[in-house]
Amino acid sequence: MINRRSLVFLGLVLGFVLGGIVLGSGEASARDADIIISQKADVETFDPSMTNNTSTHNININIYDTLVRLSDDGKDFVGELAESWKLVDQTTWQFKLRRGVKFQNGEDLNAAAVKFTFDSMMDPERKTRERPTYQAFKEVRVDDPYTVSFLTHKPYAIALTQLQYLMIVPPGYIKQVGWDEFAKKPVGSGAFKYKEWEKDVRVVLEANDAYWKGKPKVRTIAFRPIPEDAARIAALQRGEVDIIDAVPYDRIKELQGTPNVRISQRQGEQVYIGLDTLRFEPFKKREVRQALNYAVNADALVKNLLLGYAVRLNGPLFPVTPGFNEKIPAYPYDPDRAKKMLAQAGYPNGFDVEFALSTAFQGIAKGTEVGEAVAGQLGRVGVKTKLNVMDSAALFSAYSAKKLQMYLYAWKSSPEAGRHLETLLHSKTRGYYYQNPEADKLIDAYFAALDLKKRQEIGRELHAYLREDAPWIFLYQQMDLFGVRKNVTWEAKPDYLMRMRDVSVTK
Amino acid sequence: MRRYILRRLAQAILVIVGVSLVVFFVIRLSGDPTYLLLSAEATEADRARFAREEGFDRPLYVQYAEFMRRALRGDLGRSLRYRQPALPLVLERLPATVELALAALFVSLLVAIPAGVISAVRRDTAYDNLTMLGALFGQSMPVFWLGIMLILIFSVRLELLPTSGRGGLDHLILPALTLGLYSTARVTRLVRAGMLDVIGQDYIRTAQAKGLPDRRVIVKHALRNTLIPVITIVGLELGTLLGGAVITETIFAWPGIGRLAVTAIFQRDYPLVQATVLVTALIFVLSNLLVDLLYGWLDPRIRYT
Repeated sequence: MINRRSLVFLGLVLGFVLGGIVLGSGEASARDADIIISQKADVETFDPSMTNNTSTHNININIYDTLVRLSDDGKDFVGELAESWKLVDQTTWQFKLRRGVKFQNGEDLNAAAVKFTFDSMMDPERKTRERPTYQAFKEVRVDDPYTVSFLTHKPYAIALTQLQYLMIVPPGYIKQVGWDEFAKKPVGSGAFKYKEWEKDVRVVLEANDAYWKGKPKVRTIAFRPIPEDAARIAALQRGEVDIIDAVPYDRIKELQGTPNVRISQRQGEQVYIGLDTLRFEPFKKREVRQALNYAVNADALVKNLLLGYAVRLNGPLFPVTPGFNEKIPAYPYDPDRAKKMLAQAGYPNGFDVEFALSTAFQGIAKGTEVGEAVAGQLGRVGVKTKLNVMDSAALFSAYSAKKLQMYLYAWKSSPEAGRHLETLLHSKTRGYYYQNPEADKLIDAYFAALDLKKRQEIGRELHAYLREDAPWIFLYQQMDLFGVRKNVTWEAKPDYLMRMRDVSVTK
Repeated sequence: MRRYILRRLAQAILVIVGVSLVVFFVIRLSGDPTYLLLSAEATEADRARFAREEGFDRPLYVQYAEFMRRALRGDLGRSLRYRQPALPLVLERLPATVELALAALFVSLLVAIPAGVISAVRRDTAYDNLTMLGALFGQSMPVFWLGIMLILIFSVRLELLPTSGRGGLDHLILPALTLGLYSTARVTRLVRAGMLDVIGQDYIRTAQAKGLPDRRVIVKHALRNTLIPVITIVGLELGTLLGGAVITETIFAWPGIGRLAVTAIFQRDYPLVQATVLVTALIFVLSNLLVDLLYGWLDPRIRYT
């Protein structure tokens, strides 16, 4: 009796298992698009106002259009939906829209659509994720059906930098189906149309033949999220996917050795070591901060740990930030001088300091290795660091609670505009670890200067001042690395977006 | 019997409430989601507003009470990241996780039962030693390493199977092997031990004494009696496989609950973490209960009190 029952049960289990497997195995999916892009993460939502996630932007930018776009050299803006633009007065940016552009459902893309996009994003009721990013803008005004003005609260030199990411959405469609449905089945004016989304498996987009810039070069593109680095690289090597993001630095050599695969790079995060100049006694002294800059061998970090895929920085400005001055020398590696300066500042025997870092924080490459190397170099001049490796969220919390003495940090957002200078170093914004009226004054002047020449001039002054005052240990700007199959023409772009409309595939 | 089931269900509710308490408070201790969710430029005022809008500025016990009140009505909140109700996000990934867990279980039973039986019958032979060594490796090999190795060998080198993702049957093989290996090793050991135990029993000697062929003794008499504890373990393993596929799903980009949980944890998506953990806990508790009930059905000597 027992025996029969147990056999029946086992049979049921096995039958269930087999049935499950057979039912579960749907259609095969080997190559379901002309170009397949694999990023770490899946799309979060197709509603561009509800996300600030890079992987998601990279998918959405193929469905929607923006007013302007950063040129490929990263130095200027070129028109997209905007045919031309001008600064009417200090706080009014006016755009003339291209006529005849239609959303994929036939709706006109006009000034009203632009206003709707902005207004709905800023509507407090909707609690959009992008709202904080656009706080500098007061309102959007429709001047005529194809002319639209963005009004800022005060002169805002980097308005275009912000607006290059504003994806225009179709008011009629959204009013018809509602935001929730729109977030799942989007309609835009972009080069590709939404076709299919299987969560965590793939997003498939197909060519929009009526695209105002002409048909895209391929019929379909797909985004396949693969979170694990090793698996993503394997998929590229195997040819299952054509483009992968976030290639880790320790896999560079292997990819260079793979036939049919190349590496595409763009300038990525600025990595620096923040110092608490407000509460931690030694760092209150400028000489100590400078001494630490002499004590760290950033060139060696670039060469040995980042394998040359980084650019040494001579201050807090990115090479594309207006006012960046390449003539200013970076702090040379000079431990003897560092020791002397520490002694003069009253620390002949150095001091103890806690050094917080998180391995892949904000995309820092080889975070732990960099931290350990820096700790070793500082040890040679008598500064004894206690490494504290934390999880990203924990580091963020401690950072904003002003609890850190010294921390490895990275900044990526809109480097071309110098916005990080305001966010990180102005006492009115974060001011967590550095507050200096001199710097504040220069930064204010820098952002009020709408004329580029004037901005560059103030920028150079700011650059020299901050390099001297050394609120951070300046390190380098690392590269974002992508793996690309050699038969795909895509290159990484400085605006951080992956537009696929001009990309083609050769057999 | 009915009283037993009611008591077990009451216990299950207690367990779920306990789990909800732990996950609710632990995820909140581990870091603030505003830094991960808002853009890098967001100011303190933005963060404060976000916390107010999501209700994170209220005392924790108030937040928990609110969470439980809604949970009782089946509403586990909205995911901060996806901006959609959390429970459906979890449930729609359940089929993928179930598929993978069942496949892993199938693989492990297919290998483990014959391997364990042969091992017991040929005790202390080279075969037995090799199997036990293999089982030891199977139980101690890190899932992560195994998964990557399988990808490198079968996908990149031999180009036999896809590297990752969900699709046809071929997509299922590597993750199922990876996930099933630990269970395979465990069940093999269990079957072997059980068989050795049974083989020493009087009724086996009786069967042999009355001249039945060896094969028949082993399959019909010994194996059948070994299978009862195996079935218990299989039930428990299924619970573990369903909840424990976190690493495997991440490596193979398998669109299941485990991978969703990992992403949600890294992003401090509180409502989504709570929903994934609660659903997993519920599956585990229910599968345990089911196994206990089945056990009694299979072996009437067991009485529920």
